[in-house]
Amino acid sequence: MAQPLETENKQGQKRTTSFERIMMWVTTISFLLILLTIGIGTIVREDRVRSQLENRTLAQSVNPTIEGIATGKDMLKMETYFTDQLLLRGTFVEMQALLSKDVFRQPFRNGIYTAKNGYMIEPSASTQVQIPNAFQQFVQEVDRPVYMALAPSKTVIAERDQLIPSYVASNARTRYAGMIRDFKAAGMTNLSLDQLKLTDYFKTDHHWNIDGAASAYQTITKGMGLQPVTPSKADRKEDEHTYYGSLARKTTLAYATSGDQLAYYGPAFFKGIDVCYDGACDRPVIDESFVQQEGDYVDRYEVFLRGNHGIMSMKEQTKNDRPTILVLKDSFANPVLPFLAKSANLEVVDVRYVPKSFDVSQFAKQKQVDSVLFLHNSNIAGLMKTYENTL
Amino acid sequence: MLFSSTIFLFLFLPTVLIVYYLLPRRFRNGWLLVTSLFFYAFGEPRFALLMLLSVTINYFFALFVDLYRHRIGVKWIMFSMIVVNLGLLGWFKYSGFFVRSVNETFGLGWFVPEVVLPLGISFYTFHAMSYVIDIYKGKEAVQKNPLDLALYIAFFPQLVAGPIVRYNTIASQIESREETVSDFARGVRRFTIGLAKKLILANGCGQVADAIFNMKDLSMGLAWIGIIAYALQIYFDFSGYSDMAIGLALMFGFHFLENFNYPYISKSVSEFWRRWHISLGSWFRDYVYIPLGGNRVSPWLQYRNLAIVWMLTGLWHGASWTFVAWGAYYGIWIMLEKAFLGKWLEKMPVFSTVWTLVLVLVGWVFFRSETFPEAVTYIQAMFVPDVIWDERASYQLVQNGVLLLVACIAATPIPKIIGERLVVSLGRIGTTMQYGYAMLLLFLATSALVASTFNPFIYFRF
Repeated sequence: MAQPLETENKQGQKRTTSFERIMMWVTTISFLLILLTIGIGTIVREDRVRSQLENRTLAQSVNPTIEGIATGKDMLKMETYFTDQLLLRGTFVEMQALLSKDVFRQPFRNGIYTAKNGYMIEPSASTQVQIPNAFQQFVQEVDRPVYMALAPSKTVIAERDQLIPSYVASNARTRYAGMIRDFKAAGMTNLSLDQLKLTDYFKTDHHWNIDGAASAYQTITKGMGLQPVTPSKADRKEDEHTYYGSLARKTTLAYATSGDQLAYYGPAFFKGIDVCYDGACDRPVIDESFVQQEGDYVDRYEVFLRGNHGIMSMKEQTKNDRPTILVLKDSFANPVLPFLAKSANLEVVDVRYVPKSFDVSQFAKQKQVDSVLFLHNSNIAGLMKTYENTL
Repeated sequence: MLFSSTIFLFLFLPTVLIVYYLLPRRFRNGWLLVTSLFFYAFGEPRFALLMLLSVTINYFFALFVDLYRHRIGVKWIMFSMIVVNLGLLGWFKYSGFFVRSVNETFGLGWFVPEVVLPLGISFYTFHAMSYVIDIYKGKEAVQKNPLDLALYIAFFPQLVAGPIVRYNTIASQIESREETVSDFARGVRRFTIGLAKKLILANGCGQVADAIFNMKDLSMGLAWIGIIAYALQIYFDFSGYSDMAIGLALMFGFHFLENFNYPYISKSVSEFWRRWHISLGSWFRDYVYIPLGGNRVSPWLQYRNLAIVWMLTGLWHGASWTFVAWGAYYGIWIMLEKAFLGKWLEKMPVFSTVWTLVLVLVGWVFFRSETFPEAVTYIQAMFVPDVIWDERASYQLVQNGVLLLVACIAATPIPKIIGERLVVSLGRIGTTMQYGYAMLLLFLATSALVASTFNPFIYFRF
């Protein structure tokens, strides 16, 4: 970075022209105006509760206490609050991303790589995690067929398709294979989803798209001996908005060379499925409000079942002769579950959102399920501890 | 509070500036003192009292020195002043380090005090000591107004990260100064340059350095990328803060001395230290080296003096043996240059620049490492590696190569030379660019600041 530039005469005295003097005034006034506008704008503007870009709750104003001031904790909170609520915060974040991409030519942003075909990938070289014995014990205790449909994460597919640069260490494929092997050893039946292709995933989100979900549904019903349904093309809808998913949120649009179009099957196709969670039924299978919202960073994936819920049931009231399946899942399952509910009655548990004391085996017995399906993506190393506690 | 924070930038600074210029001149120093104390107390209110205690003690020491300057007892006053100041600094900065070292050396189990280091204590202690010493030497008249002395020590632009402004540099400016639009505009430019240095270049290079220093089994390429990134980080961080301090001071009509002068183009270690943290080097030269006899004593005593100065310089930077070793390392090279090496280097200008740069980079390894074994392992990777290049080095080069290149160029006078020529040759367009880029830097630096708090929640990872 340059030191300040000066035009100096031989005596070292600054020679100030009238034009330069004007520029000095412009600089002084602009500087103060910029600082004041952002500062006052931040204070007078109504506080925002949530950031769509960051998909998180923003810090709120602080009620200072004597202890908080004395220890400096309240000042830190105030700093966080002011920065979170800063006027033009999103613009500044996007501008920094542009600087990184276009000036510093950084191909990665916050760990995300954008491949030439526009797919955003998060390479990872984590340690292989052993699955806990709790899975084997669960299989024995529940005494029902237990299936595992482990979707390869997008990183697994990208590694297979050699989309990740050779200089980046990533071992998602090895970890995926190891996990499948371990789940089989625990007594589960593997429903292989290896047929999935890169185009079955969103470019800018880590999830699979409706085609990936539909393909997984066919594999699952076939492997579990269920009757699959086939939706017609007329039921298929496409959101008019461009969808920028979780990976685009992490990099900002500067790195998302192209967005996605989110497709889904409309509510009419799933009519008759009663969805219950949080003590209430008649919840929507497809909530189209999420595809109607404006904004680059709307989490449109929530169109499926409004996202994740700890315990949920999905049944077609008119069909009582069908098997009941306990589905243990993550958000990858959300677009699959509506289809699966057309083939079986579902008791769904997302262990991330149930109390620590929740006992999955007990729940399976209580609901008298006929089989159990684990429906996850391969990036579940962080869930092992939770499963160890709840299975 | 830090200069590189949103509260400072968008609330504190504009408020202080606007009220300052609205107030009658006689209230301006008072306003600067009040806001400086608020600035300091914002993060650690309790330590503001410690700083005020330091101001009060040194105010009275200086009065006594002035009063009794012709009596024998003045030396005892000076001795007490040094003991009290270094005692405070020693307790807060070095007590834990000292007791731990004694325990490790003699196998003792003495209680190790867990003392929190007050922000900027090394800087304001040296400010205060230089004031009393300058009074003792008769370089400046004693400051009778305790508030003006408090302003000298607590003035927020130089309070927490320097430069170490000598009392005689700004004594007359505290009494009387003229604020001009020329100074203000130059201050804005200097401040935004410093802000951009810190937030874009230093923090960017810091991420590279942190990542590499946390890795194991480094290849040679990776080790060199890591230490170059760290050298750039520390330069832009520190010189960025100095630029911000100088720029802020200019906005209030104060003129500080330069603290950095492109240190990485030096042709010897001695020259490096004349270009790096100039205010600290000159402080040790004037208040330690010269009082010990400086160059006017026998060669062996000169080397002893150098050894003392460089051990202290190392220790000033941090309470750890690696800092002492870092200081000693420079002391040894400066002694060698004084003995014979300096003359050799003068004959080989290009080689001497590369040589000095390599020595400085090796020095930064000690500065960055927490333990000696860590430093030795790192230096091994730089010079006698098991692997020359690996994929991790390729990744760092692809990901951060342009950033490091920009930072390398920015650490030389090249941008300044080109900029000056452009300003002259382009006339009004050049002048517009000269001032306009300050606003661009302000936006870019703010973007980097906000982006550093960007914290997307990605819902676990599935």
